[in-house]
Amino acid sequence: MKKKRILIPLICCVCLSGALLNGEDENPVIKGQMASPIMNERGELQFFYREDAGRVSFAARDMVSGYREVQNLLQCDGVCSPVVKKDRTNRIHMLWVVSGSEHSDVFSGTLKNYILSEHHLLFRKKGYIDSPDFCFDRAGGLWALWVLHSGSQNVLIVKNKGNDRYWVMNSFDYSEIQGPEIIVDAWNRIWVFWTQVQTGREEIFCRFFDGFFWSEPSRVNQDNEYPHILVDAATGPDGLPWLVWSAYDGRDYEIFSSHWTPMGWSEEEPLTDNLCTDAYPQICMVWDRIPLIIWSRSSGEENGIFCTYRDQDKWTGEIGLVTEKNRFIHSPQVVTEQGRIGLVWESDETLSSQILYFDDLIESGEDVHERTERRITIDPSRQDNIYIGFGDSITYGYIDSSPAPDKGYVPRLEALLESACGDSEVVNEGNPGEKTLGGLDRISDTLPGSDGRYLLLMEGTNDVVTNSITMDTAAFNLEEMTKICLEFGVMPLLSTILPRNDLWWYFPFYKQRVYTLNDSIREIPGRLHIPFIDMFDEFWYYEEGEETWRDLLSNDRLHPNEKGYQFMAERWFDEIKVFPFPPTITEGKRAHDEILFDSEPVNLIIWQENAKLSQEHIFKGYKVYRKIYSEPVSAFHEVAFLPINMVVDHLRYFDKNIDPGESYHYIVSLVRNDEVEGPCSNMVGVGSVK
Amino acid sequence: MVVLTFCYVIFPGTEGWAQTKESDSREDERISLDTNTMVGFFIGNYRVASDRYKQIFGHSRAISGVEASHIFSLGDRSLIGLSLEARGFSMSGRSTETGILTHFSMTPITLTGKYMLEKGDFNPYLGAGLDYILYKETSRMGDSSGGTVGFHVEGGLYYQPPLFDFIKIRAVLRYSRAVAEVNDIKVNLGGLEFGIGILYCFRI
Repeated sequence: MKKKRILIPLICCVCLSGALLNGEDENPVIKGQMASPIMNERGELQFFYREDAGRVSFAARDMVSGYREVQNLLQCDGVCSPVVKKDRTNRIHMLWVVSGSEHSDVFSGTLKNYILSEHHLLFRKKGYIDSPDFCFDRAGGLWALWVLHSGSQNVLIVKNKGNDRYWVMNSFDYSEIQGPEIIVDAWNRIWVFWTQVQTGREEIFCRFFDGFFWSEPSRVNQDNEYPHILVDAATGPDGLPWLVWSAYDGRDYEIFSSHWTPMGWSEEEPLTDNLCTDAYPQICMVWDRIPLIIWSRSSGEENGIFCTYRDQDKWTGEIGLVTEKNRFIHSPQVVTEQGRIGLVWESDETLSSQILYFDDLIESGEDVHERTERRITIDPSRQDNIYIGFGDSITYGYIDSSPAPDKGYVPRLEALLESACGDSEVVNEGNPGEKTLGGLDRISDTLPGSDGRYLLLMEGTNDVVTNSITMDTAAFNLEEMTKICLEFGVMPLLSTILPRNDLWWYFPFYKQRVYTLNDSIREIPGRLHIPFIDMFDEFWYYEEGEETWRDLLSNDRLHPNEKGYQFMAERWFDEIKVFPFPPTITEGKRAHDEILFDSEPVNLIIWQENAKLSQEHIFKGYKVYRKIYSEPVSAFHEVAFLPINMVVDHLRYFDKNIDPGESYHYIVSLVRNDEVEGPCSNMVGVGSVK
Repeated sequence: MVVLTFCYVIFPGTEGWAQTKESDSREDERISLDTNTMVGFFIGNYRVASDRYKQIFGHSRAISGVEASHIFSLGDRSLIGLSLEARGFSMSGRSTETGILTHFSMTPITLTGKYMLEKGDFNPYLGAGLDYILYKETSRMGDSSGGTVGFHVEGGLYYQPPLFDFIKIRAVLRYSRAVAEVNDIKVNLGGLEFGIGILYCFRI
């Protein structure tokens, strides 16, 4: 092996530098999704993927020439989720699902010379099946698992092909199950992991089979305040399960790991701690003894794949493997063979691949670009007439699957606003194909660079069909996005996602995901007191003559047509009209409140209501916020709520609880009867410091 | 009574207001009803001079009180008198900026020496004297109370209505100054006062 590598250090450098700088030139992309890679004994990377709803193909490339062979493997309506693995004799097996409107089937088969030589029906049931995985026990027996969505129930099923027995892993309930994984440990125990929402956010559960009984489901993560998503498992060098997942840490998603010990799960170990979105972790063992974890990271326009490996009981620093500009990388897959590392990843519905040598991994922690600390900001400098349309292709403006930003809702809404409020601008921040995980990362970079004061948020349509996170987590991501807006002094207007009429809509499972996501979105405004528009219901109950909501969609049956976009723009506009637009503080001064024999210094704030307010009866009152002059804007805190009937004639506030030696800043906001609070006014200083 | 005793000590040789009138005109005979002492009620209008006060409580306020006077004759159709008055008022106002409610009460106690002329039924007079003003302010912002000494000058008129020999009516215009200082805030509680009183006359 070492002799072999003596010949190729130069090639390695070229490959690595190509990977680190930009994989696109060296790696022509393949249109496809759901790649499952393996490496053969010659060190070639082969990956199997879904080209469209009816075809599974595979591609192969080697280390030196990068030669790529692409060929079709399987063609069948509804085929999806191909998973390919090698057994202990290096035979290649594939598991796949064929979903139909009546029932769904799970098949297993073996490959010889990249041809499906034989296959078996493992399972057939009414409902929708996804997320298959499989492994081989010590005797070479195949154990498979998948998720069956039947009606509103989600069932995780494990099957031992050898004895044709199957088990249900979870109690029958209605919560979604995501990312199930099955592995076998050195003691021939079958371990199953999955994520599910039970009492809190999405979290990780596991069970194992000792040959006789299944253990009770147990929780791996230590708390469930935030989502724990995208779990991956492998058998570690100790022969026991090692886990890696992505979890929200209150600011963004980070990578965590844990492994099974005789005392139970080891303490969660954070592998990243930054202000980027770290997600889609994968774990594998190099030479069966070195745990290697890869994951994707997105940070504004810079995205990449990073890795770390276990070196003497410690994880190394981060190593950059792939960098992509302006393309969100997701679902990277890793496979190793004799010290080679094969990578396949998705971005913009295309697949890219790379082969590296483990020995050439160089710590590059210093190259990781971290964002600056997120500023918690009430930003009075934002422009009241600038709106940001944030979302996916529906926000960007797509008609008949083609870009049409000039016909989307953004320019139409801008015209409506200009006619009603004068000079207005709606900034198009639609990113076609984006999911909430990408949006959560992007929004923190979008807001500082924009002057917009209002953000119209509609995203999640792509999360529904990619089925990698639960809809609870997608809604969580949207909720975090709205929180980030508020921290940046931007008022979000949240919307449910639109109904769709494409193929996915007619799978009850995906239709249910749309309903579930929208139900979760509907709960957010009540918690955060933000404006909300139920665009799903607006479309759903649309009737004009004989036209229904389906007539608002374009021929791709996903994006609205021109009429649909106009309808959307009008609905956005209806909600904007009742925004609690911010007042303008016209005067702030230090005054002395006098009675005959006493006197107190007070700060006086006088403001004017916003000229765009059209309906006064929908407002409840004004909130006054204050901070000490020298404190950061994050220190603003509410000092008074003034009911609207108390201040209707005199829009002013006297702050009596002040330190006469201090200077203060003030801002004011308007609150609607439904507790929706508008953006803050301009900031005025009062006191000795000018 | 203390004041009247004080008058007798100061003017031991004088006689009563009525006694001096015995040999005079009819008007003098009417006055000579053996009365040298008056007690009665007083109502009026008090305008505190302080601008600060005006801002909080407004410009003027009704005031009422009691008074007692003793008259001494100087023998040349002029009289001198000594009066003691106690008046008071209370009112509510609001702080200058935030409108916090504040309650204020004031009780001026006034000792006045008067010089009077005898002009038939009318007895114009001029006077001056000392004031002691008790005050109290209560508010959420703070409570204050105390007293301050001041002075005043006044001019007025006693009128003897026909058929009511034991009654006199008095009108007075008074200017006073009494500065109170609390919390380093100086307030002139004096001001311009106009009032009318009705007095019962008798002899001691």
